[in-house]
Amino acid sequence: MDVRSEEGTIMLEWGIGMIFSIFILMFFLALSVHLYQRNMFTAACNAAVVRVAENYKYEGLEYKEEITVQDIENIGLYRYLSLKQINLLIHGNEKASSFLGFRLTKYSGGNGGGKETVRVKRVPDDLGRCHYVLEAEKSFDFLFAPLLEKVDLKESNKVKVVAVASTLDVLHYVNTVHFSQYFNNKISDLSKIAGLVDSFINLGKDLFGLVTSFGEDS
Amino acid sequence: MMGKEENDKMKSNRNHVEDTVENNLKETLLRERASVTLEAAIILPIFCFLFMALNGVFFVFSAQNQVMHTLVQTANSLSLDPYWNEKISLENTSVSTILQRFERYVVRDQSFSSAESWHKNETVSSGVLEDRFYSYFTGDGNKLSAYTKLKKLGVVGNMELSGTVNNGDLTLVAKYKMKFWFNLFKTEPLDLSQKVKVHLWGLEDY
Repeated sequence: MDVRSEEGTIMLEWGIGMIFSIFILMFFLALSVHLYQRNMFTAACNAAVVRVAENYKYEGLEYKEEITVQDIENIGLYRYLSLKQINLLIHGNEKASSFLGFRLTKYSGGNGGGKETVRVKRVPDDLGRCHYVLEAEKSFDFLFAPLLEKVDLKESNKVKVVAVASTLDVLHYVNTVHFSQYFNNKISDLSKIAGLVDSFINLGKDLFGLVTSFGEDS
Repeated sequence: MMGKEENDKMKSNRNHVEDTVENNLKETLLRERASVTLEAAIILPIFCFLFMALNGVFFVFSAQNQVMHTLVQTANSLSLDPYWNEKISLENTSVSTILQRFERYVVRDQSFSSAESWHKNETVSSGVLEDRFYSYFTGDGNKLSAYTKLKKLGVVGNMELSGTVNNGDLTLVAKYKMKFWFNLFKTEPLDLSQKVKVHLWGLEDY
């Protein structure tokens, strides 16, 4: 057997084959890390926007466990109509940022990479109702990010999430409904023209009712 | 003299043993040449397939997580609708009510709030439910972007949404099919169903 002529094949095999194998394995690991981080970041953003919706009206308070009777009394009426709403929005953004930062420490790799940017918006749905939109972006440092970009996963190291939550300030909603009713009733009562129109409408309704009842009787 | 001869003999024996071991090792290694490549060729695809399957499970978890969040928020939002709709009953046509309706018309975002008294029926109309769900799913109420997002998550076809009202409670159910991101064995899509129940605000009978 000519051993000398075959020398080096093992080294070559290990040199090419193993590097290639390790490269493929690392690529799949990077892809899994990317998906894991994306999922966890989305879940964290969803939790953060719910937390903001829960505590938005309490200005500086971050956790619902901290709320006292005094805090509830201090909320005040017309909180979203007065200048107080600017304060609420600033605190809402701070709460979202703080909670998201804390939540990201709860899973491995969540706190790595760049600092997350968070923005909270309060969007009106109806009179007295709203929803909160949290827009968050974070870049994660992980292996093979440039390579992932080459396989059409653009900006693979950046994760952008939009999370939405419904308002939980039902007291404000109920108060607004009552206030609106009260206000419109006052206008209706005070305005003579409106009162006249109201009377006409009621008269029309009564007449229509009378005609209908005659029709039913006959 | 004897000692030197013994030493030389021992050295010679050791060299012989070393040569034999080296030759045997070389022969063994050469006999098994390309084994690394072969092993890698078999194991690597299996490993890659397993990884892809695992990543597919990530997508299922992610979809379930996002659908559940959206469903809870949709239910919370829908539970507020009856309060105002009960206060402004359709039969009442006073100036005050007309004013209220006008105010609502000006302010209301139709995707996130409804003036329809759906709570008086046994089921929530699909238009109201879908509008609300997709609005909370994407944040902008754009159905096309919602469908694209669902498709990216691996949801097959349309999501089947239903809402029933019973004793002042609203039950929302989302049924959908999910295919695995990497479906090696061409298995059927997974049937998934998620359910949420809330109590409606403002119904005096309950």
